[in-house]
Amino acid sequence: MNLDPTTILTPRRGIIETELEDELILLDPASGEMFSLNGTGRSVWRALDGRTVAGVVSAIESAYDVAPERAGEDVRALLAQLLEAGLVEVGLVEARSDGNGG
Amino acid sequence: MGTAADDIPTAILGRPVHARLRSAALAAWLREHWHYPAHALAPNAFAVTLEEVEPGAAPRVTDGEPVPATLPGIRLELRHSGGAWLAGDRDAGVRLQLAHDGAEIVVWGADREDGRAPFAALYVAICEALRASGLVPLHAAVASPPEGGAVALLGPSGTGKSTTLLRLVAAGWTPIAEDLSWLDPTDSVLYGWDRGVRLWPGTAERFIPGLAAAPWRAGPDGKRFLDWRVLGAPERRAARLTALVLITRDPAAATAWEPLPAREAVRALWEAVGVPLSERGRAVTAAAAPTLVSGPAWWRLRLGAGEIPARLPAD
Repeated sequence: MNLDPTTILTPRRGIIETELEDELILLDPASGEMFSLNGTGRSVWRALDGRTVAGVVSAIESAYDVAPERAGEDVRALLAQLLEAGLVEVGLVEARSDGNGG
Repeated sequence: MGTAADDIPTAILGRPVHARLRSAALAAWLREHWHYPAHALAPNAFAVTLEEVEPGAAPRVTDGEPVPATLPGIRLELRHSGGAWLAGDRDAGVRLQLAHDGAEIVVWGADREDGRAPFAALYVAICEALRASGLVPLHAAVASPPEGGAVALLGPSGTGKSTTLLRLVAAGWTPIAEDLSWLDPTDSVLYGWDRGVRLWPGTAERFIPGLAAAPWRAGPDGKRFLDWRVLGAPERRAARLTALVLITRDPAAATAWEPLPAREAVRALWEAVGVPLSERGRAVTAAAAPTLVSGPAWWRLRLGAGEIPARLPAD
């Protein structure tokens, strides 16, 4: 899957995150789909805050001091997997609050 | 019409309940499902207001985003709009509104006798209020082994949680819950939230012959019910959670305990607690989940041929 660098991907609403010591586990309660993210993957997930794909790549490059070409490939591959698993969606940033004060 | 407030819960697990009821049906339901005076916790600032109104005075059931209530065992769709959740229609329904320091629940049609009384929705609403207050419901059979603590038995309905529970009780464990308990994540104590054990006829006797003569009551769903008191369970059924066990069936193999990998533990945990409706409820559960996965021991109990060992394996 080819992701356009200007695409904005955001975590799908309702995805459950469970932080373990060495991994972040994502669970889609609707489909039962599970995904485990290690250190870099967790940083990619946390960077999905309204940035474009190119923005996420550059955030990872600077955080991990890796070669741009390699980081780009890895991040785009991971984002494509997350998209395929239905854990992220293409679109605008959505306020992740339901207005109940918490 | 005023209803006698005898034995209506004034607090649920320390959360004050301010109930204004109109029907005896709602009072009886509250008593049956939410009155556990043995589980008196220190007063909590989060208060639940429950108001019963005539259908004519019910809040307008407006359109909203449909959201499923995923409490284990309950499938119900609510509508979410403007920070409130609604279920039902103008004749019978429930409205839940969460605020920072409490929850307001309005219910109407609870005295209907045509099967449309909105008790499932009200159950979901009270559960969500408690979740937002910091508690986590656990759909599990729970028992305390002789050495103390609480062991929660998880797994889909029909996997054998209740029969395993009874076998452990027969081996000297103390029952805490057959189906539902509430966890206080601040101290990991589980509070049993049911009145006894429900089993299909013939199930218990097959494993524990002595129970055949016990005073079972027939339930409306065809299952039979045995009160905890008959099993010698204490009134206050609560203990600190020390282990969780995912029960699976494998008739071809020998019954065995196996360690459960963290990933499977995460899935089993969320399936046992369900997904809260509110962002706040989800935050409470998500904050508790890592401790629940890494703190207590996690095992898989593969139910196959042979007796269930009445002791957990050593870590």
